[in-house]
Amino acid sequence: MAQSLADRRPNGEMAAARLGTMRLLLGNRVALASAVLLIAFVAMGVFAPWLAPYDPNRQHPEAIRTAPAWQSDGNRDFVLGTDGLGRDLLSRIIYGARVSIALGVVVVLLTMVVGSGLGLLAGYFGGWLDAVLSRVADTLLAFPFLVLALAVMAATGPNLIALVLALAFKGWVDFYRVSRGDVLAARHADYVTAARGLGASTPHLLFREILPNVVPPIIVLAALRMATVIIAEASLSFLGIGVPPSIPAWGTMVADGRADIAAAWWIATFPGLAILVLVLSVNLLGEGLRDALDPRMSL
Amino acid sequence: MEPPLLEVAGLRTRFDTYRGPLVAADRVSFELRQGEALALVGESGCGKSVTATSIMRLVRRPGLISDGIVRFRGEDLLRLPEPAMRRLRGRRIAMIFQDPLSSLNPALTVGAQIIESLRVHGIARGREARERAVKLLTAVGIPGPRERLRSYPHQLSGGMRQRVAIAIAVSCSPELIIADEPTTALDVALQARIMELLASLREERRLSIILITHDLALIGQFCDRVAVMYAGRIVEYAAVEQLLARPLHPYTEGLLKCIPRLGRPDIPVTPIEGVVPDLVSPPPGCRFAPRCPYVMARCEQREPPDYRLPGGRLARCYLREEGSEGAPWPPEKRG
Amino acid sequence: MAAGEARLMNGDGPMVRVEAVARHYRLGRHVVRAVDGLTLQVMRGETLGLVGESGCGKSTLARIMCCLEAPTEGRVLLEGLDLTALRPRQMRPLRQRLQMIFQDPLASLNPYQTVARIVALPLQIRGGLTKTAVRDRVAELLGTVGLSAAQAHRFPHQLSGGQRQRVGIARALACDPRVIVADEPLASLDVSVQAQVLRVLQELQERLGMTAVFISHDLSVVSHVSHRIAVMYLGRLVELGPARAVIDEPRHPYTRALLAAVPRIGRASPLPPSLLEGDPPSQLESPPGCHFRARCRFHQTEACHQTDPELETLEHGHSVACHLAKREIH
Repeated sequence: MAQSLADRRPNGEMAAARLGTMRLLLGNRVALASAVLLIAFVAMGVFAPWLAPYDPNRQHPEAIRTAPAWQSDGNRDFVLGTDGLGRDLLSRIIYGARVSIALGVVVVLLTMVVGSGLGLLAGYFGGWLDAVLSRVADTLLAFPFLVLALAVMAATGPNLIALVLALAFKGWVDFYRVSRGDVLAARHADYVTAARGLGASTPHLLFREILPNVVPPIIVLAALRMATVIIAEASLSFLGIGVPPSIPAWGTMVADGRADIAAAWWIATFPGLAILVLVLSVNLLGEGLRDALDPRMSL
Repeated sequence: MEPPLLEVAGLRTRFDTYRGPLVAADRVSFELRQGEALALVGESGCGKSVTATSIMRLVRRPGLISDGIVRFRGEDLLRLPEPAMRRLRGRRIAMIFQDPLSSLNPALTVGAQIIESLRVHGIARGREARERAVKLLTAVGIPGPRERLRSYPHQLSGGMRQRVAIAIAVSCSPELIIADEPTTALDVALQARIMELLASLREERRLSIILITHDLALIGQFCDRVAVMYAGRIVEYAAVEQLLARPLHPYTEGLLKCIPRLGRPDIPVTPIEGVVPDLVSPPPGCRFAPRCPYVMARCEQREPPDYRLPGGRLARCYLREEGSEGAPWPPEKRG
Repeated sequence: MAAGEARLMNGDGPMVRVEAVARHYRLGRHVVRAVDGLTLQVMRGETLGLVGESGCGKSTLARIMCCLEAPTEGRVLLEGLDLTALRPRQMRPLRQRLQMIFQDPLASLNPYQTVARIVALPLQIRGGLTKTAVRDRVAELLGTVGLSAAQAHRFPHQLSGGQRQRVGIARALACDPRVIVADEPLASLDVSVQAQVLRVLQELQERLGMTAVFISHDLSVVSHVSHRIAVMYLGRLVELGPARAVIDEPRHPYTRALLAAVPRIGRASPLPPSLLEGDPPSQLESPPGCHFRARCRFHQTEACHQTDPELETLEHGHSVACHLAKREIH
């Protein structure tokens, strides 16, 4: 599939350009591995009902705090062991992927669209819009995230929508700043001036000239932010103000396993490892995207 | 006759790019006598800057000096241990770069940078260094030198910055200055002043200079000899007046014909057709063959050697085979 | 010129005229006068060369001429029509009549667009052409500037500097402009590439009878393409006249100094002593008298210290703003 980069036939120049991007991404082995891992996690979440051996909330009173299967006091029925209520860890981890990824995606999409959109407008039109929005953004940044989240969750109780909003509250500011900065830079670029000189309309300038330059850094930021959101959600769940307890979430599981960390280390460790691996792969993918998406890097 | 100050023989510097190895400077050879000004002329990508940084051993990965001898006062710089080379840099050979905004440290004052140069090379310290710095700034024509010591590079105009760079370069009284396109970023009026400055410094301090430039008109006023580079090779080497009056290599001729002459709109500007070859996979024969108006079959098969011609001239072109004298020069480095 | 709107205003008047144009910036407490009370016009089919050092305001003037920047004072007239009086909405359809070729071709081409897209854009904005017609015209334009059809699908960073500049020229031509303002079009190019692009411009000049303004700090290039030359200093015009006259018989001390500073092949060494004192002053200072006073090496008179000289015609369309020059001919 990958054409040789030196192959420059007249037809398919466009294809060569796109393939160059793919090739760069594929060539970056770390990014590739991360992408594969991420897909595995997503698949895990999607196919959870078929993959998980047990219902994640089902308690097995006879097998409370069972060690992982490979240990001497383990049990083959529960591969990664069970927690303090006898729930199968493996199943809970598999189902937990849903929460982490779904929340991550939703929150990131929300903050990305809102933040970048506002940044685009603020950067292009400037004036009072920029002044107001930027002050709001700066003020929000001053609030510590946990305090804000605590306030929101305490007010509404365990509620997924509220959780999403709490996570998104400050998240849009990063997107706002990045897109505003890029727009400011692009606005004065000669190619935008040239387009203006051609009689291009404002929507054209915004969406056809400036936006394509803003998108790649935003996508990279989105990937990196996803990692932050996953950790934030895990932290909130750990504190007990995140996902409602009936839904298995890695953060909650870590919190549950805290007390048993000495005797039944697996209860907190495996969910912790899951968080680690997911966040790491998302981060690495983000880094790989950064290189792949700059058209100047390819070919 | 005293030996040359600098002898470069068979210098070869390559860069390992993701597309393959690229030989940026290919068997470059020339010499420079004391007090002489040599011009290294060529367009972007011809290898002139790489040659300069190779002489100074400032080449970093993915670049690598893979072959050659660079003899400075008899000592081969390429085989010097790094600490010895560091002592030499700035002290006996100094370099001036094209863009003073990036070659000067934006976080240090002008004075601090000059004084650092003096201190590091053990020339002077403290108050004495400061006095010398003031004298240097005066020598390069910066008004209010004492106050200027405390200025930062961005507070100075482009011309003044370049003067500061020159001041730093001459601060340790080097024997050789390599100036890499020192005036390219400057207006013509500033260029004239800077070249004036370099000329007077050269005379006062008996400096030898390698001037790297793409401006053939500039070298006529400043340099004694010139080496023309194309695609990593030196294609012609001669005294400046001879070269300008009668170029012997088609590339040099092409260059001269494509420069518009001031006040002579009657002399047409004739571009050189084609583009510079890709150095990752250069053409098999003469590198200029694809663009040469005089190209012959043999040019595309094998690269011509350097033909030695009367008057100490060299030309790497089969056209000059007839008038050549003896073996090609200088001898390729062996072993 | 190509077909299109045929709304000729004045048949004999200048194609484009900037009248008493000024551009001031506020920089803290100071006012920077990038362009200061300048009046200039370009006749139909003429190439006017505009020279000066960096910071003299020529790029600002270029942008004002193309209506890419609004002047603080003054008007810009295209075939007699006052463009500065128009509202943005009215201006937009007229924009393609004044096109600029930018100095840095890499910056003036959108890195995310292919060459075909970039050159087609003006046609698409104008509208009225089918997709096929657009494609054909793009191919035609690329051919005019010496680019092959294969280049159409490349991105700017895949092209060489010279090729990029040609794309810029093709884009400008796609607009069927009345006036082309080339702002240092050769500055970022190698010597041999400059000659190639210069030839493209010269051919266009001959074939299309373009009206153009050619801005450059390189006097040699300007003298080869221009019919008339204007010299700018600190936002003002100091000399204006037929190219031959300005180059061979410069009247303003600044022009003389600039010409003397240009290195010429075949001119014997030694370096001539520079006729210019000091570095160009910033546009912040404006002492009384002639603005060039601080750097002028000639003997200065009372008038030089008191009043800033106006541009006055000496002979044969050759104007100078210098008290000394005016006295010389009397």
